[in-house]
Amino acid sequence: MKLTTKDRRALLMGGAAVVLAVILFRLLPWGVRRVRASAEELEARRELLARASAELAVPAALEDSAVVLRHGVVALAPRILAGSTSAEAMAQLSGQLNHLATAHQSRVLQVEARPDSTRAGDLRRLTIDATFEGDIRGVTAILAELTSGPVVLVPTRLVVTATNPAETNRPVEVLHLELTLVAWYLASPERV
Amino acid sequence: MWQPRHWALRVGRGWIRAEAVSRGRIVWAAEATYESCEELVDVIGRLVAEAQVPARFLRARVELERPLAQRRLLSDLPPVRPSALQALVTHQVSRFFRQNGHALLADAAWLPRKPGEARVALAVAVEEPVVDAVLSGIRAAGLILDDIRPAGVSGTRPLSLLPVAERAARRRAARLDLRRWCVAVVLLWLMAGGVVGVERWRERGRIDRELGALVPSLAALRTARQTMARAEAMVDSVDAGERGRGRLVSRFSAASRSLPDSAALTAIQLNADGSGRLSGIARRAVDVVAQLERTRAIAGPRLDGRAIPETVAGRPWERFTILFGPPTGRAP
Repeated sequence: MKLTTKDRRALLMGGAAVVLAVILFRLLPWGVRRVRASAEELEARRELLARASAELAVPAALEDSAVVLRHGVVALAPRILAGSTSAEAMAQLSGQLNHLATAHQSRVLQVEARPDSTRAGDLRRLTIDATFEGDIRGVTAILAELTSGPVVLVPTRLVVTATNPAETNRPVEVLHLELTLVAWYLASPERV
Repeated sequence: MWQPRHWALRVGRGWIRAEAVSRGRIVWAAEATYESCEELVDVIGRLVAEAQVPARFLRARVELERPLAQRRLLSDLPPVRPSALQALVTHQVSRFFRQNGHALLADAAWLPRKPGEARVALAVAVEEPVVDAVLSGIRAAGLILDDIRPAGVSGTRPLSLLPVAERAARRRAARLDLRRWCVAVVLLWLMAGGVVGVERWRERGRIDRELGALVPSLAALRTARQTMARAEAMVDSVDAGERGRGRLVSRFSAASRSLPDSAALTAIQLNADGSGRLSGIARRAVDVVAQLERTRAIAGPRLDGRAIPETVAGRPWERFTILFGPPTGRAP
């Protein structure tokens, strides 16, 4: 079959229309989407860079905060228990409570740790139940010293029970003091 | 195409006038006569050579005067399209124009008409040897021919008396020019897109490099901030404990002091949330509650059950338990 000029022209026009349609409805939208996505990505990167630069441009305020915090952290040392594990902190606190009781003619009946996983930064909380026995002066002095000593010990439960003098065969009234105490110690990273 | 400088050649039967036109103004003009088409070629060359104008006058427009160019108004033509009208007239040129043994070149255009009027075409024709002589003369003079037109025609599209082959060549050249321009425009767009793309690629690279350079500093800054946040939490926790460490003991003291003289405590329990329990013996249990409410040493005191009457040393007493703390809370 021989193609006439008219046929050739019709074929060319049809082909051109198909190519044009593909360009207009496929390639062009795809290109526009790509260009837009590329522009948005570039803009996002620009914003990221601006934010990063802005973040690095405020070291002065950070330094001021760091100075204040450094003083606060240095001042923490005498206010927390020594020891880097729960057992070590418990041992120190037990010793401290025994010493306190002895100094005020009382005695420690029991010191027992409660499970506590509370953390604050690198600090771990130690919670104990302690029971003392003593007279009214001793118990009062123990309470006063516990809440005013250098190590921050926070009573969260306090029970004072008076025993009947006739039951204990003692000339003075004996008081039982049960305390739940909270204190903090600095845990070493590898020995939590 | 409008040119600021060009040659305007007006050719009549036996005479020719050459004008050098610069920006619409005639800067040089001359006339000459010729006897034959062969002589016309030489005359054109001579006129252009004699002219004292700069070499920038390169293009030429030719107008053929009547009666060298014949002109007819044709009213009995079939209503063909404007593009087919020239072919129609050329095909029947001997019917419409005088022909003295030479081939004729013709062109035609429909004239504007009012509604109801018959269609009239304006047709022009010239003998082919004249046009060939003009073409040869212009080429010999080293000029570029813009067009050959009949003189004094207006009110219709420009009529051209160029040879058919020349017109076809010009159409091909125009199409080629159009294609070239299209390709150039597409290439220009592609180049512009490429330039923009390369620019964006470079900027992205620059941003990535800058971000990469900032990463160690940012990491150090974040580590410092995390360390500071941890330290802040440590200091805050211990400070909060410091502030609240004496609260329970103060409440214990306040509750003890607030009891009436006729009451004796046997046990007291205080919790951190403000709740607790108080047990003891008094002459009247309600007096103890009233006293505690009055002094506000503890919040919300209330008897836990009924007071139990008891006789101590022959006198009536009441053993009681008082709960206190938030009303919704339940004392342990």
